Amino acid sequence: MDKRKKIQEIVVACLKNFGQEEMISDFESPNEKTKIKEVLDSMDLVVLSVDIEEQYAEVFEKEIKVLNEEEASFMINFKDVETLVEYINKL
Amino acid sequence: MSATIKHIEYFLPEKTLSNEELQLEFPDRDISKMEKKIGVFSRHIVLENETALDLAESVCTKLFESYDKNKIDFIILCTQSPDYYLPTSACLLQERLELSNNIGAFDINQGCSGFIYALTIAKGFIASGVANNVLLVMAETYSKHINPRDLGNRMIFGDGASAVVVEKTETQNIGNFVLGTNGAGSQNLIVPNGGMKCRFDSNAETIIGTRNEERTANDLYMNGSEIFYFVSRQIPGVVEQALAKNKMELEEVDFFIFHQANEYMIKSLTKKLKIGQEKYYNNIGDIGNTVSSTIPIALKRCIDTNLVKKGDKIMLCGFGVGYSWGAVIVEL
Repeated sequence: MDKRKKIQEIVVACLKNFGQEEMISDFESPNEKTKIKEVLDSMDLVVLSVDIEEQYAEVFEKEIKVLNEEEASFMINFKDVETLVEYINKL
Repeated sequence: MSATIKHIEYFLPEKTLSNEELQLEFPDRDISKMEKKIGVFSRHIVLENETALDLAESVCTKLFESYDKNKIDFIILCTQSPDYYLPTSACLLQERLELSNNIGAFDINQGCSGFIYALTIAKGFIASGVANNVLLVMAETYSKHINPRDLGNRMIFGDGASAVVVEKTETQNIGNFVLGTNGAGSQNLIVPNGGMKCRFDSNAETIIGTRNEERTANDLYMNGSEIFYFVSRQIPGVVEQALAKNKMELEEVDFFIFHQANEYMIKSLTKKLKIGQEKYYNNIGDIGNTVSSTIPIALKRCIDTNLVKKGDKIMLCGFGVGYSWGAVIVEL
């Protein structure tokens, strides 16, 4: 399995975990076009970021930081699953 | 020599500020959405001429209604809102409370980890024979640091004070501490002006934040996302370290009291640590985040409502500005 595919699996799994807890129907079956930023606020995004980072470290044995301090990048990175996966893939 | 937390009191200023009042000030913002997340619907705020020292005096006076003040032989006052650069508020408090001249007194400048640090020092002083009955006072007025147009921080923080007596006892009821620091996070929670590096600037320009909050460099700045990120990454490990240092498993701890930063943060942290909701405290709806007092206030409220009882092993964990953090397990 290529790296991008694995990252997408991580992101989707973390979103599902989030959706189950918060009853967000949008995340029951996330796909590449699932909007993240429209549904989650900044505090949710922190939790999601940390979850993804921990899963990523487990799978790839490498520490990354998903949460970007620059607000502009932050908005773009979490626009939807596809852009987030692309962003993580470049880290 | 061993130590135990013996007496706890807290005091809140009379004036309150409700979310309804804030909504009138900020008609364009949806405060109900923020309230749901932060979990604070009202908070107590000091008057213009009321200071953290006044709160400290009030809480100690309340404590001394049921405790002989002449037994106190050391004061440790934790505040980031002192009346003066110098002298310390602790010295002024000794005089106001008419305590003996033969006691030690000093301030510590710590925020949300302050109570854990003060407790560490008290335990050390008792163990080394420096003192027998240490009065810890946490008093904070963050409202004075916050710009009136900074809605987010005004919603989160409340003013208040707490007082705790730590006494020398036969049995050791204060466990081993975990303390930590990461100054790399200092810029994420800061009042930039007012110290020696950047003096208070009455002409400081207004800065508009990403959520339209207004502040100047004289005011408190908090990068909420970064603080939450630090807590999410750092604190679960601190809890594990504290358990290991006290040779305990998570299940053996009867109750957890984390710094009451906001409701969402506590929920997220406890979910991550797999701590059931019956085993932790999360209730700052009527007082907000009172910084170094959140843990003692929560502990007092837990005792008063029988959420904890004598003999319970309770983990206390504070974290915040600095970054600074600390955790310990105490037995009531």
